Amino acid sequence: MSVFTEIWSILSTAFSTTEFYTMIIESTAPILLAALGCAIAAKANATNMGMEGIMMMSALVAVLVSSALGGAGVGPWVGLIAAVVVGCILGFLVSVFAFRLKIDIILVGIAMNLICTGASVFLMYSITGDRTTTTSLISGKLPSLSIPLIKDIPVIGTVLSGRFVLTYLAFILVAVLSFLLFKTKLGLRIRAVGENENAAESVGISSLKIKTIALIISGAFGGLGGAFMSQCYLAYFSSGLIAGRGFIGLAACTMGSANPGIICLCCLAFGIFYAISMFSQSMKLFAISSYALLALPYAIVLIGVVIYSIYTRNKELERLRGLDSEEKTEQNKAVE
Amino acid sequence: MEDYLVMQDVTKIYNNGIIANDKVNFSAKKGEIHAICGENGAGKTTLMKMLFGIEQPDEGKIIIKGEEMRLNSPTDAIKAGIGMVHQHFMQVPTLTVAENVTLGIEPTKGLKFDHNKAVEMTRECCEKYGFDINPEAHIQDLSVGVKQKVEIVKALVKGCEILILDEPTAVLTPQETKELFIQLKNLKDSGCTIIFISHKLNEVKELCDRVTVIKKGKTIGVWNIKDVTEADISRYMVGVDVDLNIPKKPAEPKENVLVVKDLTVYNEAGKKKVDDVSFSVRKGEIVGIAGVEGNGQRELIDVITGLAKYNYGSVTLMGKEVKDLNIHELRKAGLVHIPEDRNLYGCARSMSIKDNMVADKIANPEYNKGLFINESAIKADTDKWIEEYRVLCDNGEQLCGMLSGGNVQKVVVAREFTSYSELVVSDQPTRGIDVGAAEFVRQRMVEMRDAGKAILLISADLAEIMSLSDSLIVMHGGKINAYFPNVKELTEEDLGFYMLGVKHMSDEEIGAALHE
Repeated sequence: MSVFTEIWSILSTAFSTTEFYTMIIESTAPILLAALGCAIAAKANATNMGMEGIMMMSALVAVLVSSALGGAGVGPWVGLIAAVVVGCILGFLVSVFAFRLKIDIILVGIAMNLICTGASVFLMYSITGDRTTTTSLISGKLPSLSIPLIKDIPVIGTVLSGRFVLTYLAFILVAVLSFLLFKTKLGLRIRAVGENENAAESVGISSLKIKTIALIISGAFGGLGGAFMSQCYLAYFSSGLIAGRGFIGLAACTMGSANPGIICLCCLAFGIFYAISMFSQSMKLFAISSYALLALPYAIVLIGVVIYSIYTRNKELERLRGLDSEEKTEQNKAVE
Repeated sequence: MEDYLVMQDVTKIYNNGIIANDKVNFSAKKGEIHAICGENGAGKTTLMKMLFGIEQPDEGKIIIKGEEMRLNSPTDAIKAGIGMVHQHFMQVPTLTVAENVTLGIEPTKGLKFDHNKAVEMTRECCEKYGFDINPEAHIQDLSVGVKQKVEIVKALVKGCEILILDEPTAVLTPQETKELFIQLKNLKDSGCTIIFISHKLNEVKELCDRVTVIKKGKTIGVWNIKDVTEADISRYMVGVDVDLNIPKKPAEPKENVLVVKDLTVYNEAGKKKVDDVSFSVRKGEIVGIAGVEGNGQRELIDVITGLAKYNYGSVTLMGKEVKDLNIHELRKAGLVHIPEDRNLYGCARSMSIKDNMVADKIANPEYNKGLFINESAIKADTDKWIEEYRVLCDNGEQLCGMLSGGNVQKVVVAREFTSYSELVVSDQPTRGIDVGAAEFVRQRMVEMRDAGKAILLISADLAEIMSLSDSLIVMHGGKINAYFPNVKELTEEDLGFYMLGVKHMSDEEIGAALHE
């Protein structure tokens, strides 16, 4: 079988199966949470490179707290709250290092990722005695939600209903974040600080405060993303659990120009390739290496970012041209 | 009339020990336009920063409406009714005018930012003071003149009664300046006190009611504007008469040094910025380029100084095609360049005066001893230059970033003028520096000319370009619009017509710019 026919067979089976669509939605959610978190930070002109680490740490904490409470009942919920709190704290730490101690924010992000990678394994090992996963703990999952009425619609019902609570939350947060950024006072201030810090300072807005708030909220999103991975996607934590989702979120945020709506679309696009990658693992393949398919989402991100950068460059040039011609007409007017 | 604002014996000493203000006294009445004049580094900006709460005085009092104030932040100053229009606009480009104007005092409706209310507030304020601005336009789409109006409205909407303008006309065209002055006078009539900081004495004379002169951190005095002439003010500022007529002999131009022929330059966006330009600069003459900013001068200079490439036409320096040389080779061929932005291109702010001065000569044999740098030779020469170019500093080890603008410019000029040169490209050599330093730089340029160098001068200061240049090129829309072989016959008004493209010269007259 040739590569092309095999790709065709993967795609045709995938797109005609309902599980594939649920896979898309479920694999979009964690990237989306990460991307939204990066977006609010990006709007305040702070690149939250540490998103990956924040997700990792909060995913582990969610599992540990939940299992300490028995892994059932309120356990996972308290775990979720703990994850968000850890996310906020780590976001705050990034802001302290970057803006109070004036360390380059990219370096702070890289350090955060390295520390969290090490610390999560250390913590996991000292508590469970296992270096790779927390499967020995019973931490449970957050429940799925079946939506009345919608669940009775054939096909669509099975895709849209019965998803994890956090999946729904992720998509709702797109609208919430849009509202926050574009319709509230805080959002206006975040955008003002992000674009021209001096302008904000000159009217008495503390840019330090605004950036700190933005990074704390960003951390909270990372916490939700982490909890999704260890409490919805899987029911345990493992060292490779986040697997670059924080970074992909960052990429999606950049491609979506930190605009929640566009970010959501970018994440869905990535989600589709995640789903293809996952779906194909269950098929018998000959021509294509299953490892190549595992790498698919990451390759797509790379291609996406390149296309995005070409696109923005052209757009910027177009804008400059537009300004030029406007200037000319204005000058002509002035002369007349 | 009662003094509305009083700054009494205000002293500010910065952490590095520099006394920026030494018992400065300043007062303003309600409804007057009060100018503050002084050289660069005289302490005008520091004084205003204290008034706007950015810096705090070490000693002295700030009294507003008879009440002593402690201004710890801009927020305090805004509350006390003070507004400031900074030299660089404090605006967020992608937000609307209304959003920018109400930033910091945002109207809200429940959780929401009330955009309609913000637009209404802005419109009300614009109507009240007669500004014509669309509150819903985005800042990035506005011209510089309108942006400045937005900046003023921003202060007014917060109820400001004292408006500080820090060199507001530096970025404006003559027409925009005229409009601004009308509006400032309107504001004054409605009871606003305006503090006007400017280097342009003719503007001070035209606009203001009183003038306070500050020199070396001290108040020299306060005068009613009608009692003093421009020459008086500049004398108070620098202590000596500034001769605005630069003494120079008639030029004796010799052979061509720089020849620009049929040059066309496109910018990144593919727009034609320089359009079929031909001219030459000869030994022993100063050729000026005048024009409203953005008419191709920038691109032309970038090409001549090797900072940008060109595809159409030719530019030759001492017979060599500039395109084929890198910056190092260009300098070896005799190019020196005083760049427009002294802080970005002119010097390394975090390096010492000494290092900046020898930066382009460090490879010279006299500054090297085998593998090592000859520190003592460098020190001897740079100390000599510091004295010769009157750089105000403790010693050559002081960082360039610590100097005031005028002194940084002197460092740049000292470095460039002490290098081997055939062609001197002087791009806005006196922009934003004080009268004394400007005078000094101008005189040096004339000396260089008399020593047989070719000088290309670009300046937005019409008085400077007209008194310094021997011949003058006017650029408009990327083309040479006029060429005056003898500047003495030219009036400022006439020059304005050519700069704005109202008048055009014939191709033949323009062709004379290229001496072959």
